[in-house]
Amino acid sequence: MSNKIKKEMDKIVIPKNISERSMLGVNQAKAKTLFFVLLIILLPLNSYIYKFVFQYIYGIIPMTWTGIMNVFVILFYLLVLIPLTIYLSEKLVKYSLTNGRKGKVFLSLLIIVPITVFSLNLFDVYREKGLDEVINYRESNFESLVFNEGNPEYEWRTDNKEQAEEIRNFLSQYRVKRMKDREWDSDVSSEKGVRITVYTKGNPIITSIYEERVLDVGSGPYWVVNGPIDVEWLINYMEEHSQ
Amino acid sequence: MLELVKKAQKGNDEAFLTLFQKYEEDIYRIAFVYMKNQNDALDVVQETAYRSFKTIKKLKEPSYFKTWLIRIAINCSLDLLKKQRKTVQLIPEYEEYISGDVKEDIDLELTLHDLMEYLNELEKSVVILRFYEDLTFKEVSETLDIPLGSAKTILYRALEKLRRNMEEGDVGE
Repeated sequence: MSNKIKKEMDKIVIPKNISERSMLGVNQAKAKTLFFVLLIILLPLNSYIYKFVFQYIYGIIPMTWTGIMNVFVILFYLLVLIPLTIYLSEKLVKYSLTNGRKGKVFLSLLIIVPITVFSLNLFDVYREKGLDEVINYRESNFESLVFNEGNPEYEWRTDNKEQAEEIRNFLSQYRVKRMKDREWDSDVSSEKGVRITVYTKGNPIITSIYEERVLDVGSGPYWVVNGPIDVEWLINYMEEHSQ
Repeated sequence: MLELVKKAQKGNDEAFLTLFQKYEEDIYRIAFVYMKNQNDALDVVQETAYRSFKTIKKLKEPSYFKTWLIRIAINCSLDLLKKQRKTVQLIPEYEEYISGDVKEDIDLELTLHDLMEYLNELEKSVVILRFYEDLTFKEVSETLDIPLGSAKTILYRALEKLRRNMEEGDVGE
């Protein structure tokens, strides 16, 4: 009887992925933790890429499509991007747990690289830097520079690269440090200031420069470390060249 | 093997995997008899690996590793069946005890299908442990946590059931 049972049981075909499942079983607790770690890393990363893709799409579609596009963006995010990220996290955990040393290296890179890039980026944002790094553009991409755009009384525009460089050189002597958004006091009445807009082949750089503070539309508010900025020099430069 | 069990008990997952993978095919086959399909049987293998890895520290006698593993596999199969709301035959409170020997060496042209379809979960467990894993009745009763007499009764009943079904099948033909 024993032999007959064994013979019958041996007819059960063993699937090829059985060892993979055993391994996953052993690492189930680890897999769950890794899954959430990867999800926490991948979801912001994918959302970031998603934002850039749709920013590009918004730039090329007609304005009348914006309403439909908004709905599509939200639905796509909820119904496709989040499930896709969950699926991707699961697959990556499975790959890394079933590929021995190679899998461990892959997983380590997958966790370390985004965290390192994010940390370096954060460090770069909050480090002390020259004001010319905030108003940063390639000279070859320069199109025009406008002082106080939208205020006809004090507006001055130049497409002269040398003049723009002269202004940038003047600003480069000042060091700035990023302040937290909540630290910014929008009351700037006690300080002199000018707004500089630089048009390049890419997005315009719009920066309000006050004696002790700087507000850049792209990167946020800054303290001037070695202020006050000689705003008078900028106003005089503008007046001198507008005549 | 004992060395590997001790290493696994200290948390060495590679030692545990080496041990587990030695028996994973047996576990899969047992699970398949309960679950009757590949996916569920694989789920049982995965869950058995997880549960056994988590509880191996509690294994007092390393030489009983395989029996202990099979007991977990059977429990996992029964749990999954319960979860899927398929009928699971629970261990009865009262069994008619058979004190003597059960005639096991009967001439049955048994098929895998008979084993899977005609026996309830408890009968499958006893048949598998007794004939596939070659455990003694004492070991079967300890593994399934049932009295020795019950183990014999269940096996007797299972064999009778199989014989009857085959006879009915023969008449039908």
